[in-house]
Amino acid sequence: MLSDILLRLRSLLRQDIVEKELDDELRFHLEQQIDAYVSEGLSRHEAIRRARLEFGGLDQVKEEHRDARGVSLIDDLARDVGYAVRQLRRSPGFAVAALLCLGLGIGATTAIFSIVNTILLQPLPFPDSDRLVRVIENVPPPAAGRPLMKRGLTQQEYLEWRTQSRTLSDAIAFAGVGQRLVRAPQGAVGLWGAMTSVNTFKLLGVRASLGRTFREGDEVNRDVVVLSFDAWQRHFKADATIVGTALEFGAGALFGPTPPRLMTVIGILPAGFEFLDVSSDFYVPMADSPSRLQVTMVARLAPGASLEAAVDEANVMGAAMRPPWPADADPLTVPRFEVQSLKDLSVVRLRPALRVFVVAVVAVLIIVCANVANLLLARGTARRREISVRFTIGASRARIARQVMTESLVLALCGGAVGALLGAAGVALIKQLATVEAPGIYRLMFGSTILPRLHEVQVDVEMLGISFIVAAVTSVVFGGLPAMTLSRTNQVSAMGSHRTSSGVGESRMRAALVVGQLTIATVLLIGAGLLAHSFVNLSTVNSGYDSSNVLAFNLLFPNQYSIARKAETIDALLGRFRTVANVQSAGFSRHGLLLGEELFIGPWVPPGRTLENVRALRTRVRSVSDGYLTAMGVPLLDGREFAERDDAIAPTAIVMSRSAARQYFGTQRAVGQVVDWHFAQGHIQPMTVIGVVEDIRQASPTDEVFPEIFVDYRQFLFLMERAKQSPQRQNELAIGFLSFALRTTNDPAAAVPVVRDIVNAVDPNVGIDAIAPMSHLAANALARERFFAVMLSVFAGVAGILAAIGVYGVLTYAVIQRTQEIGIRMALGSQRIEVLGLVLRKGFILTMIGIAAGLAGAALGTRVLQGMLFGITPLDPMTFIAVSLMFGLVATFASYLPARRATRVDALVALRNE
Amino acid sequence: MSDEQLDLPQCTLDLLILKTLALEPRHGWAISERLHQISSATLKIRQGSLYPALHRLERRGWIKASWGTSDNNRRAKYYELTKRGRTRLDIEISAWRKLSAVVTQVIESV
Repeated sequence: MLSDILLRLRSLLRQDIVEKELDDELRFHLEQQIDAYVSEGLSRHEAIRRARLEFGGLDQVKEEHRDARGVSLIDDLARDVGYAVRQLRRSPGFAVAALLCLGLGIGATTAIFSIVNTILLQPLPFPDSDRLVRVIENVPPPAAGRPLMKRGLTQQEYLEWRTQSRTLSDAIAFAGVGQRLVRAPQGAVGLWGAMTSVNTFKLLGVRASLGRTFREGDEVNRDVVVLSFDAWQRHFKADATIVGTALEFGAGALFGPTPPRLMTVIGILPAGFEFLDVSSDFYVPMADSPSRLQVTMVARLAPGASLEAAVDEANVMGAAMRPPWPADADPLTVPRFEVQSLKDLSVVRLRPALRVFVVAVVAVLIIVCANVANLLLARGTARRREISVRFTIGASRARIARQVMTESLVLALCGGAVGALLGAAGVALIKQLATVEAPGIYRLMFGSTILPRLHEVQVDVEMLGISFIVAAVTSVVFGGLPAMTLSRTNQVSAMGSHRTSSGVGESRMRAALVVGQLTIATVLLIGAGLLAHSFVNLSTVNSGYDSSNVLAFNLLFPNQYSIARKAETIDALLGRFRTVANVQSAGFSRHGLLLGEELFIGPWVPPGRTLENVRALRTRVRSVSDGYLTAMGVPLLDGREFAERDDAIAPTAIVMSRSAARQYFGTQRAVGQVVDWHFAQGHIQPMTVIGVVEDIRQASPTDEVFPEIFVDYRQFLFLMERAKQSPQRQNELAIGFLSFALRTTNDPAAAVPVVRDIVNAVDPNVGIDAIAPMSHLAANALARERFFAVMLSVFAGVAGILAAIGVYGVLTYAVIQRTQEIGIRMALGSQRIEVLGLVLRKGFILTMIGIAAGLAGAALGTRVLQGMLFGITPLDPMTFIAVSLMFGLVATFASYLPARRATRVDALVALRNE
Repeated sequence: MSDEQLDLPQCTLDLLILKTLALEPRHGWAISERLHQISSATLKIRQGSLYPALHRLERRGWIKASWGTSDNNRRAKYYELTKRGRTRLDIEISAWRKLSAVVTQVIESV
């Protein structure tokens, strides 16, 4: 019927008007009735009473009316939701606290579990991956008390093992081959590769995204190569026609002069392929030759074979293949040969840390639920009166239950939305923090990631769901509890009094919970404070050079180049770099900074000391060009740096670091002294000290300061040539990793294209390996420290906020329960400031107990951070004091809010129903 | 108030409301007063039943509502019978007569 539909539509769309009309209509009725009673002679008061009584409850009438109006369930829901939102907006403090609590809890739980799930629980992305194993040998440590060393097999042993084993099938071998110089479209590049048996990709069930992977026969005709997706995109512009073409692969740095090999690209691997936690740029087939090459053997357990059987067999076979250990070696507590699950291997280091994270996450979730429960109980208690009034005026029990439930659900849903956002942000943050940008050779130093399988990590929707459900159930139960415990029989008492049945024990438990939270948060905050303090120390430590405005890069020369040609090329390149407008200085070094490389060539004998006298002194030697120390911003302390004129035929000169000068000359002035350098067997050269520079920390700011002597590479090459040293040795000691440094007047990254052009112009066969601003490398060298500092800080921050919310919730609840008491106090003349003090004191006591316990816990617990701290002790008083003060302030603020609420208690209102 | 107040089945209440409105438009309170009077105070319609019934009838298109001014100059919602409502009233009355006759007959005969 049309009228029906129109009216229903009107009900739904113009709800406010319809409600208002209904209200007016009913009020009119009531007033008419009252008038009628008055005219019958009742007193006005009595008339009102009787009319109300007959009327049967305004809410009830409205409800019945609405039911008659046939308003749908959706409408009810919409109304409930609207009401719930209004209720929440009416108490923003509660709403923010509850949402923050739920959001942080759900978000943190989801983010951490998403990471842990991928790394610990998800199988490796290979078919049947739980049966993939690796065989290793435990080797006695070189010195007593050191940990066991682990060793793989040789290629020869691998071949024997493969044929003999009954418990393993499909064995493959894998070995890194280091860096190779490859001609790519935009110039030569250094690619890192691995050699692997031809059945590897079949075993792993990996199919090429383009072309093919290895097949039987490739181990004989080995001039084929498979590229990683990443290298293909980065260096070959994802050009599909590359498959089938031949690339020239030259040997990398420090290799002997071997001619380059032509290798045909047969395929491109899928994106994100990672094996044994290594992602190589290219893979070449491994020949089945019985060599001494160290390989990693990976195999699949044969059908029906257990891991234990494989271990037993490995110890029988391994003992037959390898000679027994010397009799005086420490007895082993583990089997000599081990067969380890591939997945265990990749997580064995991380498992304890990740377990701690899981425990922390569960603790966070429990704390969140407790806090939400507390907040809702406080709120529910405050609303008992309102709810019992609604009962009394006729709202049905089911109606109120639905209302309270909706409100809790709205809260949980909003919290879940906040949590989902925070969880996604958390996963993104962890992924970003755990990724280390390490170009080329720096990958060996920094690793490419702090966590394995990072690219597989996604927001875990299941976990999001579970934590949301836990939070929602908590909200509904504790939100509904105060309303549901009101039965019709005690409505009146509830209306009359704010007192609840909550006993002393219950409030003690609440207090204990808050103290526990404060304790945990304090411990975490102090741990985070220590790591942050340590990180600041690390970042500001004087490493002896200035990494700002420096562009660093490593070059690769074709290995067949003679030493003379290499030296000429270096000279030509430096000459060209120095003409670039924005380059202040340019220099070359055998190995750049932040590479974990050190070289000892000596000894050095200063005047007045004997060879025996100095043999124990260790001094690093670095071959550099003039301009290198200037470009790196190493402060000159005395004398001068190398100059253009210190060439091969000039008087031999050295520059010493501060600690080298002290080591050889004590308090005497080093500049001008002559030191005898035993640079090769039977060759001694007197070298004159021309300058002293600041000590450099080579690989990381945590390095010990080490004595170092710098030699001009032209002089060093000349000396070695005269002493008839082999070209290979000359290359290794003086030319090495071909590290360059340019100091620029503007952003060093802007110079990258210029450098590429110059290198290509000087010699297109020269490859660029890693090119990056030095400050960038320095930051990534600290990625691990930064990761742990940020992770712990975030965790501690979350714990701190939750604990503050806990204090807020408990005190708010207490204030509501004590409204009458406070009212009496105020009626008896208490000042607002005294009431404020009353509540603040309670908060202060809780906070002090919590922080004191936290400090004690931290004093015991921060010892585990010992190895991760730099420049401070685990009991660093500054961190302890700063954290307690700051956290104390936050907790005090959290108790100030309910205290302020207490001062606003109206004595009359509080006492009205007494 | 009499002790012998009767609870009305819904369809009966609808009939009585329609009948009350047959004469002139009335507001809710007047309807309940009128019923109270002409039933010699036997019928006391609870507001919880009256207003839902009114809105139900309105939705069926038997009565229509409009805001007007009451005797004592208050804004009140008046209900009046529609044409369909009048037809309906006749149907309801004859149905009721038949029904009550049948019910009476059954009761007497047993």
